[in-house]
Amino acid sequence: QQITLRVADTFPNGHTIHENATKLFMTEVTRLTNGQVTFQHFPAEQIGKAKDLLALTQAGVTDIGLVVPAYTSDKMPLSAVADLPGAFTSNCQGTLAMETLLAPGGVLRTREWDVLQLHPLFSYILAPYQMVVSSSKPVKALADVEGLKIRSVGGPLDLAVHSVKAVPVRMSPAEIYESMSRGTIDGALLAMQSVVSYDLTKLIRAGTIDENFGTIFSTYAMSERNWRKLPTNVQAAITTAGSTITHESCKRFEASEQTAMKAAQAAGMTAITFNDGDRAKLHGALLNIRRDWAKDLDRRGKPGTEVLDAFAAALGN
Amino acid sequence: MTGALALAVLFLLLAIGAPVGLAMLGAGILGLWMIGGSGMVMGILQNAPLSTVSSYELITIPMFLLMAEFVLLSGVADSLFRATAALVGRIPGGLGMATALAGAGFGAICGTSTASAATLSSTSLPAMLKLGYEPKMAAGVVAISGTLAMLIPPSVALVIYGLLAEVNIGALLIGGIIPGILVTMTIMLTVFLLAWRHPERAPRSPAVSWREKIELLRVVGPMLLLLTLVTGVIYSGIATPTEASALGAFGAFVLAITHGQATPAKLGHSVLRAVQGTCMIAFILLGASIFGYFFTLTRLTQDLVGWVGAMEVSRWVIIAIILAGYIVLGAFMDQIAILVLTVPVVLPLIKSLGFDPLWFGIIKIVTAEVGMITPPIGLNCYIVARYSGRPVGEVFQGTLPHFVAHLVTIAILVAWPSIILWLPAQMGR
Amino acid sequence: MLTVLKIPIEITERLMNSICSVLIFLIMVIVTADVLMRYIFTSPLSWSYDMIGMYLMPGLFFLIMSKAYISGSHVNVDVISARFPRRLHDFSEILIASIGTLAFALIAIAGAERGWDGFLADEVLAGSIPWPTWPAPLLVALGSSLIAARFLLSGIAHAQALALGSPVDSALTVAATHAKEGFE
Ligand code: NA
Ligand code: NA
Repeated sequence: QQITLRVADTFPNGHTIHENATKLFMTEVTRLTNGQVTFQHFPAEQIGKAKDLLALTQAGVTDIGLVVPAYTSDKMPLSAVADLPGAFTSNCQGTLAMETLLAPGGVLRTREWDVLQLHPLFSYILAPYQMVVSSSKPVKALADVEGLKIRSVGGPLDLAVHSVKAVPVRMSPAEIYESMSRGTIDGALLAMQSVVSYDLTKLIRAGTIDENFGTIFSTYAMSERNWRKLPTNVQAAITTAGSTITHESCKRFEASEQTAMKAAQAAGMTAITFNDGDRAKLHGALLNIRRDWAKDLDRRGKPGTEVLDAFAAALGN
Repeated sequence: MTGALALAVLFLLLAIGAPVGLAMLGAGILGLWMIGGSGMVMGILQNAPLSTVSSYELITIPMFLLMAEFVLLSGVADSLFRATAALVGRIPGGLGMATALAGAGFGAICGTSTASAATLSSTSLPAMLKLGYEPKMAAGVVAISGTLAMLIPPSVALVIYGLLAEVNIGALLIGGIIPGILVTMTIMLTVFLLAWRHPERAPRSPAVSWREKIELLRVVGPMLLLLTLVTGVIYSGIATPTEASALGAFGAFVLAITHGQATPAKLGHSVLRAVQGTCMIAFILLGASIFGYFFTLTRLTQDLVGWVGAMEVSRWVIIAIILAGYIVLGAFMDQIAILVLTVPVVLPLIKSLGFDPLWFGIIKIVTAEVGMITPPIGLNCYIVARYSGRPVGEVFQGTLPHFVAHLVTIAILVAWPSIILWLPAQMGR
Repeated sequence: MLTVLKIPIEITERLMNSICSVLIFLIMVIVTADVLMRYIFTSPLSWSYDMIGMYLMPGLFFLIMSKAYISGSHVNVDVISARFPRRLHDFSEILIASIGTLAFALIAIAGAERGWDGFLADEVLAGSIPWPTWPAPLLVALGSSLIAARFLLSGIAHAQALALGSPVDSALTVAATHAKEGFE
């Protein structure tokens, strides 16, 4: 029989994530099922804010919803492992490692997603975030970052800002541009694609190009209850499409991140490349953040170290 | 079918006098239950009510309300009117024009038009009546000048539009400045023409000595302090627009303590009024959020946009119909309720017709100003009537020329969008 | 009898009044301090963003809701209903109160469930301060049950008036008169 599925996320219509992941997924599922499954797409927080979509998906208000562990860190603390700073620099490396952990039987799947009765469909990372600086103070060494006010989003990203002795500042994305142009903040942790889409290139003077100050890992998911209602041929089609899109979109985002990086540099962004001593210091500090994260979860009776080790193994480190 | 039933319930509840927020909440829950049963209702009720208010960016609403209460308490408004009156009092209709200027000045430090109308009613209205102004004319100019506070930043109404329409609130507030000046000049011109045609309706005021004029400049200090705290800190990069609202409230608090006759009891009363105002606005936003889920899930908005988009009519005809609709609605309904009920439906349409949402927001607020002075529900007229002890009918009559002048201004703003969009564009957007 | 039921509600409301006045004042002071600390000392209050968004704002809104409602701060359109005869007026108030009771009872139950589950699971945010997330839905539940109780009381009072043919005890109703002052 004909099946129509609601898909809800938070990005405005035509966002790069729609173009390079969400719409590809919907088209692919419809193709694989010969038109049996079609979709109603509700973008732009129409069915709820980022932090509510997990619960709204569980409740079946939407069939498929964008689940962002970083925004629901109270419900899925373990899945934030990919958000931790410094573990990888290649988008596909990180995304595909998470795919392993989320596969049936994977540690995240059993310890977190099965518990929440959620079924992951496809995942993406926009890019590992870089530190971009808009202040006129030249940034060449790690010490130059000290004391800069850096916009962050809380969680592990705040810790990454702290680790380089900079000052994390919170504000909504809509306020970044004005705050940078007026010096309310000196920089931000962002993917270069966001630097371009927020129109920040003309304000940015310097930025790291191959670091990972943390990121936001996201998944489109379904409630297990609604998943089990689907006929097996549809389940198979969605599983295949999900895997295809996860693999395809990570490459696309990697490419668009490179394009954005070039655009930012062409617009005047100086690449910050730390010397070996600084790099070792930075990476040591970021490693400590990951270890502290794991120990903290261990203390709360959650398998933090197990997940961190499994992620490192999946990354091939 | 579900859509029609829930809409019918909404209008029935509104008709029997249910508060707007509750009507939307009730109709929304019913509609959601019909679509997805109790699972869907509870799923949404677990998240939406908390989500509506648990936002840092939302502090602008309580902070602007608190600022308005403290500014009222500080008594700055009295000196503001005396200063403007000393400046332009000798011109025909001078005190009326001074009222408009004071309304604009007060609007620049206060975010709600009713607070402004209340203030002007207790300062400029008695002054005009004492000089022998026709009560109708004096009351009319006070009622309309009060509405400037919702157009000139800071403005609670603009913030609510920005939240609903997801328009950059900083840019929106800046966008209100030039239209605010234009509307101020419209009011002044209307008063001037009325006084020039019928000098007996608006006698000239006696001359004020230069010494006295300079004396009155003392009002500039507190005014500048508040302007700096709200607009200045944003420009200088000290604070974000969200944070600036709290700085403005804090500055007004300091003013109330140092300038006014603020007793702990009066302060407590002001704070409580701001809290209740916040709650009233958030209650409507909550109802709108629940009803919005229903509207979204039934795809009514998309259908409407598609339907209008398929019509073979100029987009200017459509915008004219929308604005006329707003003026009619504004006669009967509360402005925040109108924003909340209509923006989620009308805005997608506006965007699909290729209009700028920021531009539309400012135009919408100017129509809201009109709504504040049109019968039967014209809140500013009720406030002026209450403070002055004059009959409401008389106040409504006095606002009639301003109603006509406002329509002309709206036409100008629609015809030349750059009047609105130029200044925000200078902010780098 | 009904008047007795009103007493605990009113005492709670008065307490909420004071709490909310403190909350709004706190928001003003904390944000101002945050800006000054950031601008002058480059050391903003790292806890203010989460604390205000997660606890102070929901508290400010939900705890005052009942009191704000009976103070007539809520906006309605009374062009038609102002002309209703007394019995029809009672009847429509019963309808409004029933909807209010039901809607806010549901919100209170939903909030209590979510808060309680979160408490049992010890849900906290990741980050430098592990804020618990469960108190916020409990604030929703508290404020919503208070206003639900208000609506229930009002509904019963109007039902009594309708049955006895007597005027309603105005001290018990929550009928929002058209707002005398607005906030736009
Ligand atoms: Na204003
Ligand atoms: Na009106």
